[in-house]
Amino acid sequence: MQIISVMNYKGGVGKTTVTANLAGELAFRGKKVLLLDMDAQASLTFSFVTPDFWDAHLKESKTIKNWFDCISQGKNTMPLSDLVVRPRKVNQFLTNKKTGGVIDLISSHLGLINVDLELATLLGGANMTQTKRNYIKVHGKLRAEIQSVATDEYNVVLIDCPPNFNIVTKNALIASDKILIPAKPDYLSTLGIEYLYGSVKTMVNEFNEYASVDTDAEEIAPEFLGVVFTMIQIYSGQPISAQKQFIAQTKRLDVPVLNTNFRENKTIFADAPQNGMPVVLFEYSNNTHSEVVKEIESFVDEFIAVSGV
Amino acid sequence: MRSKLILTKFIEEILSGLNRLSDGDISKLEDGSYSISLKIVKNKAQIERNTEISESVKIEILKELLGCKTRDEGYEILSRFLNNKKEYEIFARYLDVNILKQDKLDKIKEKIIEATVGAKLRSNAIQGIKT
Repeated sequence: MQIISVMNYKGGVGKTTVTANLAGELAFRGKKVLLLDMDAQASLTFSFVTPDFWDAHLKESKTIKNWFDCISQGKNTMPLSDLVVRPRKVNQFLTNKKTGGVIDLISSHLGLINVDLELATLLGGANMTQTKRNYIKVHGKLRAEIQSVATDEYNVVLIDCPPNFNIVTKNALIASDKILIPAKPDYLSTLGIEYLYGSVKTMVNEFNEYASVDTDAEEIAPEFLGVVFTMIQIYSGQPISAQKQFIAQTKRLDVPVLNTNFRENKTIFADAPQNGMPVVLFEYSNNTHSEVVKEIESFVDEFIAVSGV
Repeated sequence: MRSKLILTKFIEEILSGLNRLSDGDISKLEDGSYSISLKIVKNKAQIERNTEISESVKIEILKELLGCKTRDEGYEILSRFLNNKKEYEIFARYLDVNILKQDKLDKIKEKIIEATVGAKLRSNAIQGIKT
């Protein structure tokens, strides 16, 4: 079982689209996938369950916010398995196709954005040792909880991270074995990649230093899987020049870049979440649309090759 | 010796041109209403060949650019290796830098520098790496 975070500082780069389609294709290939939506916007959640279902059945007691609330209130956390739901539509499809795969989900909550402030009050301490212990307590508990719920049940856990670097995000990254970075090939998005690299390196060093005072805490070493470029505009079978230059520039900075990418196609990506099914699981008769699906399948081939999932 | 060879080549080209004259052309020359003149024209294919930059030179320029600590160092390297707009365009395309038809030489230089030295400096600044 591997825990993989999908992360970029920049919003709107396609993190959720990548996560949902990756999960869809992996499950189609027989993998058992647990999705953890850590973004307060809950886009991944609403890509698999409707907001009215979430409001009626999940909002009060079955979101990741409930788990973080326990930490900020000093209570014992519930097992993460209590928060897992199996989205009906996509899993019905997977069952009908006899794939053997599943997609389970731990939902997000729009109030997750406020959790950070509450967690921050737990940081600090009377002395350095206590401060370090509190840091580990606030940032490091999710890893053990995910391993406990997922090790025997799932092949992979995909965490959709918010576009920031707050305590909730750090929990996700600390819990991760690997990090996948979706990015648009433009100036600001590529800056976000480098910012993320720097921040993760600093965080890992800090965590490992603090972990040395806590016998229960293990050192972490999340690995960068690479950048997958998204929203690619194709002309004559290639990304347009304006995007190609940022792909080439990123490669020159020794950042691992996947060879496959996600192309821009508003026609099929715009309303896919509303259907509760990722694009990659649809069968399209239109040539361009089926080309998009083939490209996502190629991305998943490459993802499997580099991640070993 | 070299000039002899060149002269021989020119005479051969002139003879070849004379051989291509039609009967009508020869009649016009005979009656004195027309005369022969020499015209030197640029050979486009030759120009393209002359501005070709070898793969090893492109790799060398890129390697040096990525080792620069300032943009000014980068501009110096470019001017050391590249001589005209055509060569800058070729090198820009090698880097996948997006150049437009209306881009002047200075703009192309700037784009090359930003895609290499600039990118490295921005990356280091963001990651807090001191150069």
